[in-house]
Amino acid sequence: MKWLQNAACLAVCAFTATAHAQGVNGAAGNPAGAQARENIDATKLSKVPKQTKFTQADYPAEAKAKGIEADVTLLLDINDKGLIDAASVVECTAPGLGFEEAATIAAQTFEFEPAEVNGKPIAVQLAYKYHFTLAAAAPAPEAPAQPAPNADPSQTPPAQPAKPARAPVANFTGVLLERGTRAPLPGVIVTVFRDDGPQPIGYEATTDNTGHFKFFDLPEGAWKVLAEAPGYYPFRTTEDIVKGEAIDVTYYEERASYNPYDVTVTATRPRKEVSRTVISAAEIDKVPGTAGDPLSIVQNFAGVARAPLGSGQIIVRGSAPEDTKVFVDGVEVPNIYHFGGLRSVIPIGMLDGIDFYPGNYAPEYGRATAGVIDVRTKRKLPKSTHGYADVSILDTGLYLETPLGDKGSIAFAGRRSYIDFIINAAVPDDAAVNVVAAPRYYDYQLLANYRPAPAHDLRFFFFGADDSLKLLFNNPALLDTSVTDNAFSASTTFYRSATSYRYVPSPSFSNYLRVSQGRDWFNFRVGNLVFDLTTYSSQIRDTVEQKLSDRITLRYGVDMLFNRASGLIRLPPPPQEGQPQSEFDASKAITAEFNNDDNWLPAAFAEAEIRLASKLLVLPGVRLDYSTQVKEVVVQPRVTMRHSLNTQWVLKGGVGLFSQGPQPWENSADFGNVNVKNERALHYSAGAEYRPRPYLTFDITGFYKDLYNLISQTDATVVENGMNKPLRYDNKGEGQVYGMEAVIRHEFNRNFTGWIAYTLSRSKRRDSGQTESRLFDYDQPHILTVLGSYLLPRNWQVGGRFRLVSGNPRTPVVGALYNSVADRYDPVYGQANTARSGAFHQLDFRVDKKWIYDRWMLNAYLDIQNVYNRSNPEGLQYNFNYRQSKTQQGLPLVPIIGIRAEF
Amino acid sequence: MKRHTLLLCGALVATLASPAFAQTTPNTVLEPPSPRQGYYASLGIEAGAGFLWDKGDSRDPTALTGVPILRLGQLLTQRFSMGLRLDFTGGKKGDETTALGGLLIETGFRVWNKLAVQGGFGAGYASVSQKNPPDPDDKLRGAYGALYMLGLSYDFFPYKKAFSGGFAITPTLGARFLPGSPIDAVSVLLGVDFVWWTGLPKNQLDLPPDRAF
Repeated sequence: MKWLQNAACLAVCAFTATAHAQGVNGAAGNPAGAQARENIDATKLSKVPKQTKFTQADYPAEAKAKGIEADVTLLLDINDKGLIDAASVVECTAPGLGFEEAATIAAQTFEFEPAEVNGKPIAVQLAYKYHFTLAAAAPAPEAPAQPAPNADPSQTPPAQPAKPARAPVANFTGVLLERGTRAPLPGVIVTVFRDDGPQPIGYEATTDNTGHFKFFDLPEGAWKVLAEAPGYYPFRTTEDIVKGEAIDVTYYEERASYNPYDVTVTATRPRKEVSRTVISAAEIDKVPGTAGDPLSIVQNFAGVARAPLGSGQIIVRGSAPEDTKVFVDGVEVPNIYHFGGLRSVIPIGMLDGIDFYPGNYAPEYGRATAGVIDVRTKRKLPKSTHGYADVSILDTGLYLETPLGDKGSIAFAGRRSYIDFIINAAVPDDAAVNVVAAPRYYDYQLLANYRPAPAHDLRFFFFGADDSLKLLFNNPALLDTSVTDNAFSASTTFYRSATSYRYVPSPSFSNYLRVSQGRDWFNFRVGNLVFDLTTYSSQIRDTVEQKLSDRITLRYGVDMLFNRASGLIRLPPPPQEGQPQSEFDASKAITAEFNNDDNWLPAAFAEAEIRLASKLLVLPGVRLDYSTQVKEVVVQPRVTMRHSLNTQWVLKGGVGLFSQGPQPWENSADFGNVNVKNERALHYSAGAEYRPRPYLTFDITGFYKDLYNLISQTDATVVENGMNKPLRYDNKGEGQVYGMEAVIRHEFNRNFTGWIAYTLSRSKRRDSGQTESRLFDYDQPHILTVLGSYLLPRNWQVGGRFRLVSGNPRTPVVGALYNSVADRYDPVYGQANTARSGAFHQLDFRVDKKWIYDRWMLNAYLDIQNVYNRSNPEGLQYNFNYRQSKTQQGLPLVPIIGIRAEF
Repeated sequence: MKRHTLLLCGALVATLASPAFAQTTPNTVLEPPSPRQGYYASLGIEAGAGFLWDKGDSRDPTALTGVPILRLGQLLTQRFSMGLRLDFTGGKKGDETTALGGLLIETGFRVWNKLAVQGGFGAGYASVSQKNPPDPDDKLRGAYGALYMLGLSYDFFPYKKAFSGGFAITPTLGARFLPGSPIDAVSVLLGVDFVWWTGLPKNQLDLPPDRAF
């Protein structure tokens, strides 16, 4: 619109002409609401206000139709930030036609560089003349498309409404994208200017929501182009405009810092549990000591013990690893790690974050007596195609996500290790062990999301993993003298398909249905010993949330799990927790073969969220679990409460019952006792949170767990069909776990994120038939984790993790007896877990560097684990007659390098 | 998109012409051009002495020379740099060959003018190999573990460059320490690095308008 050009030009001319004279004038009259201004002589200003944002006014329709033009003189109150506090009309040359209102509305959004006195910004009043000028008649070819920049307003030709205006031609268009991510940059002012003529001239355009900008009728010649967005380096270039030609450009503007925490989801679910650690994918991604693995971060949470090297176990609040359940979007999965915790089975690209509950969790979760880990997959729909390739010394992974229309998206990922290639190449042909296959792992994922309407969210997630290892021993005796074959193999394979549908028709009602199906296959062979188990599982979980009133919300649902297991097991009975890992004796192997063993595990749960007072939240709930194999209904009442004393302090507490079924061998007719029942754990916890800053939280929680009905090995026998039969297991085990967790968490702020987590605890067990308690295998009284990452300039990031953990208890060997049958010494053990390994401490350090290119980014990291090369004890190794021992050392200093290319 | 806008005439262009314009945009600090800017890649040679302790017993010092020391990194602020360093030095004394080296994370801090202090840590090794040791098992003895370094350097820029970056000749003085088992090692080395500073891209530099575009 030509009139806009004129209006803009003339307005600024007017503005520049009057600024000095009337820049500061307290006597000019303040509009209502404007603050009084101090009288300062305009000549004393060290800097006059300069306009940085202009908004065009809507031309009043009636005036436009009648071809009427006008000048509106405004009085602007510009504060010391350069924003408009008030705008009032001083004069209008054509009053009553809407010019005054249009100019005032437009002026409200103007922005200026503030005026200054002695370098200090001050508020000023400014007279500002806004010219409304209609387009001239269709210009003759030689007529300038734009007015001369120094045009005198008085020389503006009179409107000639009889002739239609020539449509402006966009001869310089482009799109402004963020360098590296290709995200459009909306609302950025793009300036073109030139100063090669008698007067410098310039024009501005603001990018739209897609980052596009246009300039119309730009005269030919070389134009300097400048795009500046806050937080970005300025983009500068020169473009040659040729008469009769249009150019279209793509500019990539580089962010000063590619802060990974910018993408952290800021909307957080209100806290209702006593203890819940929520961590976003951005925070997970660069934790030192994890070698880039997303789920290894769980090991750093308060209440989580250090797992033995290479075990990949998750030991929560002094409970056995199998007592903690792992869910992916509420769907139970058999494991989240590949071999020994080497890598997670879900890549970072698929993750939104992780919720970790060390105890007293909601009734929605069950079949676990310790903690719960719920891995949340990505919910945000991508706006364009993105992906990455992740290469480390262990494996390579690929990830790709793309939108499907504006209502759906799909993402694929896959990863494969190449340790097998390296080992196969490294092991000489004449070695005692031939590596036939392995160790090798891969995983794959497909995530599809469709949201036909805001109330409907349909998702499909298919994922799986496969781990495999096979060794051939040239001499079977190296494996074990009782093993009759020379092969060792282990493989784990599983997949899950999970379909979910979330329906939220109103803020007071939602329904979340999840249906999953999957298969787990565990195969382990050592010579003639076999553990081969295939389990098909199906799960239906439906959760309804209903807001009954402002004070009461109900959550209820069902959680139906069906397992069908088949397999062959030929193994000696596995040692129970608390028993030393005795010599592997294949002669005691028991064979069990089963086919289509079904187990239904229906459950129902309900929880009320009651706000008794404005600051007191109470959540009573109950969960009912049943298992067709155990044939027992367990009613598990639970309650938690949170009381906000003020905006900073929260008191919290909870008590609840939790139950868990037996492990597969414990209620097997061949290995265990079919009559064992569910184990129980009564959780008590109480604590306080203090949040002095939005990013800083102090959290202290005391906990006590009363474990009973624990399945424990027994020497007792039962009489069946007139014969004594070993009972093997009963439910007479007991245990207590108590302690406290203290966490100081600093969420990302001032370039830093991190936490200090300290857990003080004691975990004891009393086995069946025993009168005295003993320490739990993983009783670690002191667990300290100090972890932090700091974002440096130029896209560098450094992080460190320090851990100091008590050693695990162990059962001492007090002697040895010669076994003439097996021709070996058998150890004589002392009292269970009465000795303790040395403390573990380790410092890990990670440095990341990101390089930004126009359409992609490259991130490289070096993760140095065990920086000061501490020889951490992992156990004791005895000689043949158990008279000498040496400490088994943990990993030495290990540098791990990885790169990730993202686009 | 709607044609928006404003001919800034005197106001805008006066601003553009002002050096202050290029100083900052919100959250983005532009730097004045300087030779020590951007990424650096360095090849160096070193010579000095190595001191080893074998199971706690001191061995005679060994003269060490460093084959090209490779350093790659970036200046993060006007004073602080970070990078990687590959370090290999070795020396012979009689039939003994001593080697010390490793991969380190290197940080540098410019304390005055172009004088910088460097510190680093990483994974390293120290080894002593002997052709005919009294005990054949001692043919190769060594340690793998943490390697620490501390050093000083001064950049001389023999050639002037228009904007930023350039070629530097950098004398260095450094020490390494590797506490290991059974060998602990310390080395003190003098050397010279040949460093190429890439400089910063123009859009990250505080330049007057006639040079900024």
